Amino acid sequence: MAKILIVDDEPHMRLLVSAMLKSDKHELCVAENGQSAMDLLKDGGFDVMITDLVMPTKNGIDLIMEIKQALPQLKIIAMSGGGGINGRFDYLPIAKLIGAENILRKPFKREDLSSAVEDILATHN
Amino acid sequence: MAVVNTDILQHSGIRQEKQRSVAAAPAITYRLFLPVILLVVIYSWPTIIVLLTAVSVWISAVLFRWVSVTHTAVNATPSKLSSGIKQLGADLGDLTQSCHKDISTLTSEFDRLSSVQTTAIGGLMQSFTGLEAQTRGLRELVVAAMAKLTSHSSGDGSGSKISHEVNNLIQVFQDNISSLGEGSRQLVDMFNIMREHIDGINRLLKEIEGISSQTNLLALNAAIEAARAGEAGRGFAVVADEVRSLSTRSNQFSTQIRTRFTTTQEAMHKAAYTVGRMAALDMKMSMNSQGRIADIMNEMEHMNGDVATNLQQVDQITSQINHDVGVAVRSLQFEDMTTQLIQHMRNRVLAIDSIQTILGEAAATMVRSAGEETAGSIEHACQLLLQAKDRKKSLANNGPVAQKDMQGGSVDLF
Ligand SMILES: [Mg+2]
Repeated sequence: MAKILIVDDEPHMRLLVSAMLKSDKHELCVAENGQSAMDLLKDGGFDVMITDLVMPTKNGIDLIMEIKQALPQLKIIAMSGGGGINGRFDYLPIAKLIGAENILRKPFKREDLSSAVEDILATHN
Repeated sequence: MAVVNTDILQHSGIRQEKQRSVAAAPAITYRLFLPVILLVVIYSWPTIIVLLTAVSVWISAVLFRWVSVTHTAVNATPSKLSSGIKQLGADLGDLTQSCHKDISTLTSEFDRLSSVQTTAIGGLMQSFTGLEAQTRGLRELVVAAMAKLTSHSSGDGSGSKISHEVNNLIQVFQDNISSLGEGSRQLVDMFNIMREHIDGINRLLKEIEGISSQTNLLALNAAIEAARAGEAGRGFAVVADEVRSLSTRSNQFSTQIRTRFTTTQEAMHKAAYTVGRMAALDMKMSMNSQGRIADIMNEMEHMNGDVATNLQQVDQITSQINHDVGVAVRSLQFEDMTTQLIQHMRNRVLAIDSIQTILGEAAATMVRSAGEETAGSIEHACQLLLQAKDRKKSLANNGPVAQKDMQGGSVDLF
């Protein structure tokens, strides 16, 4: 059982990811953008953060880079449609490049999400 | 009738009473003078004859006077009548002359009115016809503009054709950038592969460092064992020493490799963050520009809507102007009616003038005939007056145009 923060600007996506992880008996929190995620993370206690990349206010790439500096022990799973808005970048590999332990390309199945979380927790412990 | 009879009865009643009160006095006079008269008649009948003769002479004088006066009046009539007729004829002549003058002024004014009206209405007609043509042209332009605007609109409420085209253009632009971005994606992939390799190298390096440290430990143990073996272990001690020095050298190498590896890892890390920052910047820009494009599209849609509304209003106003101008042009066509009315008034005035002329002639005849043998002349004047009367009658029968308003469709003139 781990304390997990779910970050996505889409409300239905926050609900969906929360629902997918509920049966795994994790402690779940949600944030709607990078800024409010940072505020929650500073309070501490989180093991894993599952974050969207394309978000207003503070995007997932900036959030991951900041976390890798401030909270290097926090494990990160990046989830995204992948392709950048104008197709110049595929944000998911970049998330991995800057330190995300795992990436999930939307749309993903419940099992993909569960195993990504389990993998990270296993490596962590 | 009863009332009248009563009146008559009442009247006669009054008369009877009056007669009764008046008759009382003559009755007394009669009784007093009757014997006197009888005495006079008996004793002075020659005086009565003289008196009767005097009365008859007086009556004859009165009659003679009446006859002479009447005769004098009959003698005076022809000269007074002649001067009266002459005066009357002269006055009538003056009056007809004055009327003739007025009528000639009136006809010339009618002519001027007619000409001014024709000129003015001709000008108005021309300008209104021009205006009508202009508004028709304007309306055609507006309709064309609206058609163009509508054709640029998809009509299904999903936005205008122009904004679709702009979207397509942006898509093409993005596709181009995307194909250019293929390189950057490959770069990111290679970075990730390098990162994995670096992690692998790191693991290998740790392995080497472990081996080296173990070898060093092994060499140390071998040296200790060789020392314990004494003379017999001297050769082995040399080998152990060599192994140790080898391990030291290996350790030195691995330290050097570690230093270089760390530098590479840091550079790799920096490169990854640079790519990360670029991607984040790209994301922000894209989000903003996407929003901006959406705003611009919305603005364009709004503007299109506004232009369409304005054009519709212009179209309405133009068709209203067109209608008004049509009414004006139609109304102006009633010039014919007014012209005919003026012509009719003119003719009527001329007819009146001809009557005046006849009257003038009659007046002249009267003047001429005054003091002469009059029967023929007066007959001629009477004939002239009859002629004038007939003309007046025919003038009354010849009515003006019946059209009284300017409603089209019921025009009986043209
Ligand atoms: Mg998002």
